[in-house]
Amino acid sequence: MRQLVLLFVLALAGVLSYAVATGSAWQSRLHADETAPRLVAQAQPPVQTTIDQPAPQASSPASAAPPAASPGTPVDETALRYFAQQGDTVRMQREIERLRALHPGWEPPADPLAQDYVPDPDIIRIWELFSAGDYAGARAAIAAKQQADPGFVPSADLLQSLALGEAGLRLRNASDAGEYATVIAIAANTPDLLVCASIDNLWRLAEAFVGTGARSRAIDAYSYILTNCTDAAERYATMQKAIDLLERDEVEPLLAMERTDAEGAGEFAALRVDLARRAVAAALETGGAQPSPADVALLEREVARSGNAEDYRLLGYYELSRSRPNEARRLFQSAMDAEPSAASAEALGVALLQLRDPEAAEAALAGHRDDNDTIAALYLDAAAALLATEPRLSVDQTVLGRIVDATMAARNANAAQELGWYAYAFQQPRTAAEWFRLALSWQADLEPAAYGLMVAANALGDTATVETIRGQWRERSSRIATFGTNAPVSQAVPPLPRERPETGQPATPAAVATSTPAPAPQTSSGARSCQVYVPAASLSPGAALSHGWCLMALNRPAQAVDHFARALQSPSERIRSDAAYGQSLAYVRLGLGDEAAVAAAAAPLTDKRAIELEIAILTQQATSAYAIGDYARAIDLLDRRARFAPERNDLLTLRAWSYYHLRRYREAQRIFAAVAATGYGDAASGLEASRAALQPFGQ
Amino acid sequence: MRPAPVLLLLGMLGGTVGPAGAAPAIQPEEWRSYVEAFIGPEGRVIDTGNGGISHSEGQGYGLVLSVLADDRPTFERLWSFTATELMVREDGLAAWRWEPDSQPHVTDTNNATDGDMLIAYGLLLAGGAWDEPAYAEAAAPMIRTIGRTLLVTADGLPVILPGAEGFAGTEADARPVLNPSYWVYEVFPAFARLDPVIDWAGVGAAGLEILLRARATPSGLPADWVQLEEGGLVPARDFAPEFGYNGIRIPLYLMRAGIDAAHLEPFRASAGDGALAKVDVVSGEAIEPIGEPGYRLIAAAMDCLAGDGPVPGELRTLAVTSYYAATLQLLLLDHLRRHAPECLDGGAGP
Repeated sequence: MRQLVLLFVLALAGVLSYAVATGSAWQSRLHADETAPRLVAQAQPPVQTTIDQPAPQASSPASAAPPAASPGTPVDETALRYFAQQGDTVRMQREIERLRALHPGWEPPADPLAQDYVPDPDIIRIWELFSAGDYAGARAAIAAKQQADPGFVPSADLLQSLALGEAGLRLRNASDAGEYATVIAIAANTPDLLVCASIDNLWRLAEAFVGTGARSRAIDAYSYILTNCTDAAERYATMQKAIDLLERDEVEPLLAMERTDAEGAGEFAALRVDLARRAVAAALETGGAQPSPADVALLEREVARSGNAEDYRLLGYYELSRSRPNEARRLFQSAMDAEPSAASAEALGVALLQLRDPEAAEAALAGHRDDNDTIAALYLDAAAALLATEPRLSVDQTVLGRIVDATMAARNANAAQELGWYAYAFQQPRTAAEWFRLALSWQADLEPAAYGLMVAANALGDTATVETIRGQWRERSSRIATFGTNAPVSQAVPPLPRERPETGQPATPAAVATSTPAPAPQTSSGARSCQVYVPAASLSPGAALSHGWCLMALNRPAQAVDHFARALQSPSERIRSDAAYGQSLAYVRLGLGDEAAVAAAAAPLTDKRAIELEIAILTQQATSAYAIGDYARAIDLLDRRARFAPERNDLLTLRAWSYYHLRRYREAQRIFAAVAATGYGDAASGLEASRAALQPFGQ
Repeated sequence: MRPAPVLLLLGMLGGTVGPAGAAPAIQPEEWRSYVEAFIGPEGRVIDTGNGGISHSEGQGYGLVLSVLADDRPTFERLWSFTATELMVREDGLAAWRWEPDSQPHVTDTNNATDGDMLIAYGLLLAGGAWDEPAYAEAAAPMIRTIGRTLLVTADGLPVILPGAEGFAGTEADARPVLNPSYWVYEVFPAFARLDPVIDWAGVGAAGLEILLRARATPSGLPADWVQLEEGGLVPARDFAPEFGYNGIRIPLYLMRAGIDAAHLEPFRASAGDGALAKVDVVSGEAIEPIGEPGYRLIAAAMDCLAGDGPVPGELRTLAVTSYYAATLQLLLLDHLRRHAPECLDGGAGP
């Protein structure tokens, strides 16, 4: 085995001259007042190592240091006898092991305390310095003794031990400085460093191999460790390092060297599960590779064993991505059962909507509808779909009540008009008309609400309203224009719940699957094929607009920004408006609130879009302001946002923490208490903190 | 490294340092105060005027001084630190900068060629003084690497590149940036004996040629950092055009190597009130005096060698001020005591 180490280490001696550009741009020279910009040149010297030494004859497979002294070298027992005399059995034992490893065949003296041997205190002191790692001190002490006693010759054992210690130190320093070629050269020259007892040297050598592109050598180094070294914690750490530095396919043969315990459990089981997790999560990314069936199966077994909600969700989203919503629903339900949370509720809601079960979706989402904007919006989608289901469902009063609450709180025009159609279907035209009016007040260009109002007004005999609407909408809607005439009347079909744009929340591996495409407007021209990169400048503004929406659908907002910018050059105001909207959305998705605000001003937007963007931008800016500690600005931004949209629990909590940091503890406590009362877990710690802060002043 | 040339080399080195067995020119008390002030127990020379960092230049000076002071234990300490902490470069030279509070400690892996030359020279001196071939064996690869990779041609002269990176010419400006105070004149004969393939004597001569070119400039002195062009000398781009703390070593090195005193003239002429000064080389105006005792000794020694009598008494023993001033002072005292004791005798006594 040792030969293997030596062979692989010496074999790489052929791979020696590396162009190492250190990239150090500044070098402040001594004795100068100013530093000057540096130009980086490549250093290409020949490597000065003496690697043409013959391989030592060591053949013992032991994992300890091989004999460094040739047979016949007297063994320096000074330290051993000194420790014996001091009664320091621990250090004596360690010294015995060290000498045994250095000199195979040597046996410790029968009586280390034999009085005939008087250890030289100077030599003891030198060994103590060596043991403490003070090689400089040991060298100095040797020189001092040589000066005082010209007959003194330090033992070969001592000198070799010092040389080995210094080489190890130099290897670690070179490794820390990123001088990988030096690390490899030192290892090649001093193979005694590469032992399990100094596993850190082996780790650094493997890292140096990776750093110089010699990946197969790195795999060799890790293989050596897993073959020869026995400490469980070190083996586990070795595997972790290999996973960090190598590719999955390079890591597999190392995993295969796993040892199992008495019950058959593999030492790397947890790492295998983690790799499986990463593989499944990667599949959810845009353009991610499919995980192997083995990985999926491993994760499934793990989740069956552990019942971890996040793993359930991960598998569920994976099933969703493979168009198996029923499987997904089952997994998301397990996640909810294991740990009810907004994330699990949201996932379950998505699956149920895909399964066309809006009733179950609404019920699943209801408990968490106030937790954050995403789930609030999803809830309203489910509610609208529930109401729109044909044949009409008889919806429970409680359910209807909360749908109405949510609709009013969000001023959601789509849900309002669905409520209108629902009321109309149950012979309540007056209620319906009120809902349609409300919807139009929130979104003046919502055609189905206008049509609904026309229909309801007509049922009430309110011809004036009917004609008013006809007059306002004649140009925009044929069914409104021809209402009441003998033209074929299309069934009053309320629109299905629309997909909504990404609101810029950070995508965790479990949540990525919910990013749905932004409303991709009109222009056709095969814009779906935007996988291949096309420079924005080479497209017409109209084509760039389509390309931009296509990119947004693929969740590539950074690229989409450029295409929307090109589209802003269009002479058509409609295209410019779309482009401004798209670019602003892209910036929101990138987490750049300020840029989004600028982009939104680039062209006139419809009211709906302007408001939607305003909400998203203010949310983004408020979160950023909080993150950098600008609490007053965070509150100000939240106040401005509140003019457009209700504040969900997550933003309320953010507001409360802002008050807290501004020492407005009473306000903080008030909000935390309100939020915590809804069952929102994250508010509990804030409530405690603000209560504690108020203690000194009494309640 | 075969034994024979090394021993030959060691024998020849004996003359530079002093006959074996002669008392060192550096006094035990002053050496002890230098060590206490500037050398840490781990073997690093501490640049007290520069944030307490260590560097290859300091290690080199420390190694040379410890041989001159005949203090082998301290030499071993310094060499252990140098080898394990600084010699991490792939080419076997020393990374130049080490900081106590950084992790890793080496914060710039570029080399500083004067530091490498001083380290190698210290090893050669030690090998000769203490009859230890291992030291010269360690010095040889460094000297070979410097000779083959850090000497370049500039305006027809073989010159020393101050570091492996950042000083060679670029596409925009092919002239290398040079530091005239990196010419430690006394090392070239020693290097030539160890590595005769390289024209070390030519390198030394090029250094003197640089000083001659500087005479034609307004101040008569070379800037600390220069570039050569068309038979002349200009201050280097991107550096302050000043002769100062770098260049002040040039007369010291000239004196120690026994170079013709005529080369000292511009330096002696620029010193006023017994002190050398920082000089704007473009205008020739003095900027500020370089006043610590160690530096003032340089001016005083030049005056003495020109016939002005011994140096002032207070400069004849080590003043432990900053690492740099103290180092230059010890190097010069060592030289004066061995080769010009009359400069330290009589006149205003200590």
